[in-house]
Amino acid sequence: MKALVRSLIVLALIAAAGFVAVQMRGPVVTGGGSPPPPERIETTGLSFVKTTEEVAVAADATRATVDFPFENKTDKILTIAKVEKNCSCAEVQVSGGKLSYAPGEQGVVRASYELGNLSGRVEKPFMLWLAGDPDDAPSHTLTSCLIIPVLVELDCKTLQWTLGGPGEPAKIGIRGRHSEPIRVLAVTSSSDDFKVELKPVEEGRHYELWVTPANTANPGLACIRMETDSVIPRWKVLQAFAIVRAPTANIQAPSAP
Amino acid sequence: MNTLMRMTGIVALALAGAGVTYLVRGAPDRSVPCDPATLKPDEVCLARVIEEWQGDVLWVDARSRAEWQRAAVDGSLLWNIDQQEDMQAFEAEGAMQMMDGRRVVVYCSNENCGVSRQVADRIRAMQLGNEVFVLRGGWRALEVAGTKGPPTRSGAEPR
Repeated sequence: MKALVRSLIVLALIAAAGFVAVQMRGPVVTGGGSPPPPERIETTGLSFVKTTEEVAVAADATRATVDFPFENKTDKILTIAKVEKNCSCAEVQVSGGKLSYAPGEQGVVRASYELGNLSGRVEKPFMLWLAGDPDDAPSHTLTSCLIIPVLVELDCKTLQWTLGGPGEPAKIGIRGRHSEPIRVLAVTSSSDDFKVELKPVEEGRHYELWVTPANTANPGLACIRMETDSVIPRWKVLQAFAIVRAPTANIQAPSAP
Repeated sequence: MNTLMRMTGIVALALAGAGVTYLVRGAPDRSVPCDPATLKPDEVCLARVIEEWQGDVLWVDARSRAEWQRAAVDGSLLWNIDQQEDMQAFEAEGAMQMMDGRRVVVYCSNENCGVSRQVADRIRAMQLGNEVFVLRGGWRALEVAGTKGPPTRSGAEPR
């Protein structure tokens, strides 16, 4: 009985101490917060040569592989516990499956990607947890930066007209950036409210796509698709937009036709 | 029996202490911190979206389709950079949704994923003129906000 009473008193003192500590800490700040952590300088965990790796891929590539070499420069065994990819298109492997690294050991994290119809600069980050990392704090974030050549460029993605304003024709320049010419074969508009006309400036290299709204009395949107003869699937169909709408406070002034 | 009584007493005291703390301090604050002073130019705090903009924005979900189908902001538009998706379909649907000029707020899983910024860049590249922001804290901020945030759906038919 005495032991029970003693235990209860000790527990009560501990609980009271915790309560007082919470009181003294003050209110939890919700409107503010701590600034983001500075860029991590690795003194623990694995040491990566680079945590962001840029890779230029061929124009017709369908897959890309990015390697992240690392070394365990600490004095303890480190184990890779989990990898979160943020993309179903990626596969991440670690040195043939070896996950634990003794001090001084080296390895490679290899990320492989299906490229699909992606183009331009695409960043694919993924996170690595070491054994013992909290769930919300991975030790490492690695980023694959894929540079996929843009073979055809539109100098404007969307043509805009103001509701009730002039409905003058406007153009989108289409320019080939590839060593081989890419011909635009056909142009279609999803809406009869916008007339489209393709004018070659230099066949296979430079075209002008002229768009004219039927009227600007009503809001409207057209999806304009351009079919090319490119043998690379991601450049077979290009897309632009034509829109008639009223300006709002949240919209910058429409681009002048 | 004595041991059992002791354990019961200890547990009861611990619960009592916790209960008193809860009554005095209230529920713990699990919101994702968002200091406006630390925001990048294209970022926004959830509090601003809800309080200043009354949630009247186009929500764009930059996570995977599976995550979006599992749970997402009600009425959100899926737009990610998964190669299995049709990027042109995202653009077309996005253009339709942005006709009304609403601000666009893009979110991904959390503050570390980075995909939301890439999607935001692609939306801006469409040159529709709508203001485009990235939500600090991502889906984690929305989840934690619960009823204080925008309505969310789970497991329902996606748009």
